[in-house]
Amino acid sequence: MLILLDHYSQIFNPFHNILYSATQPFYSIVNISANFSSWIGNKFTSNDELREEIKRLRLSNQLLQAKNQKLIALSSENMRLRSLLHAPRKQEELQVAETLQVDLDPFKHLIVINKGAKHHIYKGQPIIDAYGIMGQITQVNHNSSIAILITDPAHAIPVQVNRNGLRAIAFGTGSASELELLYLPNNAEIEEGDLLETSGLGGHFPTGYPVAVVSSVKRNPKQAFATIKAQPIAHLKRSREVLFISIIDNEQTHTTEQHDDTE
Amino acid sequence: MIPNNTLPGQIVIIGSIVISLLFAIYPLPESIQSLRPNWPTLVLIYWCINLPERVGIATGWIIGLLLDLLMPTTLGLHALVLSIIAYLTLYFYRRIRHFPLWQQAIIIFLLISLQQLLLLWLRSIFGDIPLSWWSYWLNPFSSALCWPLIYFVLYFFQRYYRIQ
Repeated sequence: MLILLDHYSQIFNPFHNILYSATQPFYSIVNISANFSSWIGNKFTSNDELREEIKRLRLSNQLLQAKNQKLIALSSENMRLRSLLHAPRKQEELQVAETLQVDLDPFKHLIVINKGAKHHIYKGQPIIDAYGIMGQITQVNHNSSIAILITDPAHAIPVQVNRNGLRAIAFGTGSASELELLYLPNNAEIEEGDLLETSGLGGHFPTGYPVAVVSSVKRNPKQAFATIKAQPIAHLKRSREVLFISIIDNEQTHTTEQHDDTE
Repeated sequence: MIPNNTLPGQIVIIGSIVISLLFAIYPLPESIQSLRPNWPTLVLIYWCINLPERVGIATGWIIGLLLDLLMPTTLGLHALVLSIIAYLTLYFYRRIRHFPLWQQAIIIFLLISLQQLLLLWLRSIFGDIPLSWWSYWLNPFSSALCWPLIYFVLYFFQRYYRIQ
């Protein structure tokens, strides 16, 4: 009874928030104890290693800043040109959060994040890490939220090939290092090593974030569609820090809640 | 002395259940994740065998609901399956109680296989597909192997606090 009610009706929605806040202490306790063991490990890293790391980070920071200089000029130029065309691009804002060290349902690829409704996280909000798209929020609790990763078998994300703009949909396979592009014909112009980025179709994910790199293309003349696999760029299982993207409309400054999923 | 004895009893039972739920979501390396024993079910079965007048189907239902919230799965999924497991254990508890430990482990193996089967069946109705077939069925093995551990730890606490 309860199963059917929960699955097919919205009856429990008002209670969800209360019920799921009961999970918060469980998550926190597990997270703290799991962090404690890694904290002990960190205590024993040597001074030299840390110095080495600082050196490396400084170097990469300099490189990134140098690249950034160009980017600021380019993006303002882009904005100017777009406003000339009267096609303003939606602006995006980033919010940093941390993942909690918790293992959820082994059936699915889910992660818990330490920000929730309190921090204006909404359902369907895309999350990224430093490398690429990770997934989207499926459930918002008061103080935490749960996100589905792009590799979950129930998840699909609209992408385009960076090189030529060919559009496709990348489905999760259930393996943490593989996405599949279904329904692309055998003569589609796609090669190994092509970068896939979000196409922004569907309205959930913003345009232009890297998603995956095509790892294998098998064209089978006997079948209608080619078998194309891709490897996600984001460090899905290892990232501790994630970033929320809030899309800011130029006309209405606040983001509206989105209730449907792109699944 | 009787009121003194009943209070820690409830605390020990609830405490063991809470700890088993914490173990159920404790992060493990991905390679051994599918070997994670089914701690909440093991604790439920232990108390059902040894304290059938205190722990039963209702407790199973509550543990299942908490698991549903933690995982998060469709509400009531684990609740239904764990109440069935509790019912079966209560049906056989007089026999199981006098089995040697290795025979109990076999019963545990069967019960947890049944649990996995029911979960798989119910979840496939809602379109959840297991990630890999063979690793899904490792769970009953590891749970049966961990049964003696659970048995001795909980038996110790039960004797220590004289929970009846």
